[in-house]
Amino acid sequence: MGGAFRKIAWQAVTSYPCWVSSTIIKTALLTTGKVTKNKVAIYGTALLAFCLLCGLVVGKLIGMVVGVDDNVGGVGIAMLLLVAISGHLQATGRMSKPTQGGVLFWSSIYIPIVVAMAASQNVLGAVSSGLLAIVAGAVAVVVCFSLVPVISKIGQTVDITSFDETEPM
Amino acid sequence: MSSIWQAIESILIKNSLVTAFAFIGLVVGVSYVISHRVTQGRMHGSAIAILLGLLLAYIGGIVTGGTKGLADIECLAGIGIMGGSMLRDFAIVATAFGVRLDEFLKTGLSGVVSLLAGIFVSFAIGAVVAFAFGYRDAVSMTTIGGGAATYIVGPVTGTALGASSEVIALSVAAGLVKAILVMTMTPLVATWIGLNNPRSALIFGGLMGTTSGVAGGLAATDERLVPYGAMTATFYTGVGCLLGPSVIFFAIRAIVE
Repeated sequence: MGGAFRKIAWQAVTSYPCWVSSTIIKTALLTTGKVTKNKVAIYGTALLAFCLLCGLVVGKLIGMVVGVDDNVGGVGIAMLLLVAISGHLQATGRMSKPTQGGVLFWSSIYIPIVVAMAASQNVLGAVSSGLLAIVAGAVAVVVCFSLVPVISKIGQTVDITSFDETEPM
Repeated sequence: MSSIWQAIESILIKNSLVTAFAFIGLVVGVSYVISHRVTQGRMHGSAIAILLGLLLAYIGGIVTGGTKGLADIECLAGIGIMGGSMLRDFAIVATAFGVRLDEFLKTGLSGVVSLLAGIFVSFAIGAVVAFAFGYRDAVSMTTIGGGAATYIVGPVTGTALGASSEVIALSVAAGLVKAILVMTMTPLVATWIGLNNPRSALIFGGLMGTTSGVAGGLAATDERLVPYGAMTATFYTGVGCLLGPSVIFFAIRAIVE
């Protein structure tokens, strides 16, 4: 089991370039508070990289446990991890401006990355795929759009009920 | 003249990621000018940039005959790296910076409900459409249903169930159509479906599920909603691959056979 874990972890690390994985050590130092005097942006970026890699490893392991050859929620777990760690660092005053900048840059470059993603989609394949694929995709989108307000409502009713229950009489 | 272009092109190819940064910067810049001058700011610059990206991908597909849009053009191959899953996931995680943990956890239950609803509804719709088009065996119906979920769930389900390659190709195409429609339609329907707060964005991500569609659609609507939608959407494909070839296949088989 240990071997399998190491193999997965190694795969996750090597599937990303070295510059991402090599920064993990610095993040470890940062979170233990040993290098707080140096305020440089790479700590922020390294923290981000550390969170993503951890999330992807956990997502891959969840996938293995449930028997799916895919990453189950790795990015979502990474987001939770980043929120938790950066929140803790900010609360204890160990998140300097340049360190924050190392994260915020990547957040601000998000839209251009999405534009690049759009520009590398197989749009021709989708457009020329025939009626079945277009109908299936389009109906799924329309129905799911219309479900957004429905589920928002259901959740709110539950929230209100639970609020009433906890309210003292 | 052509030798000068060859010299330039060799530099562009060698520094493909840098070329991509410059090129995408240009596309975004043009989009913001169009947004201000042509639509008087009524259409968001990033929405136009995504549309322009899709249009360029279409042109790239026609010119090269490949499947990676503009990234199939040799000197623009860096766009494939820039828009690939590695940097996309890196940037998505970064958007969560500054969000409070309880904002995620507060809507956790609605997120799970929307995730399951999104997966089951998409499979059901895909299966019904497949049935209407004459694919009436449970394997093909489930595979095309998976495509209506995402373009990864479709082929994973199809491969697990032993679907024909024609049906698997159809499921990928259905998923692509969905991703592109979510990218382009979300800003247009956002007000109608109440997509203006973290809670509805989280539900939206769970219902739509296509990470690229949700990432693009929310970016074009309101950048602040991105982390919430992306959070649930990243669980969708994994859960879809889990339920598709198992529970959902058994259910569809029980109904049609």
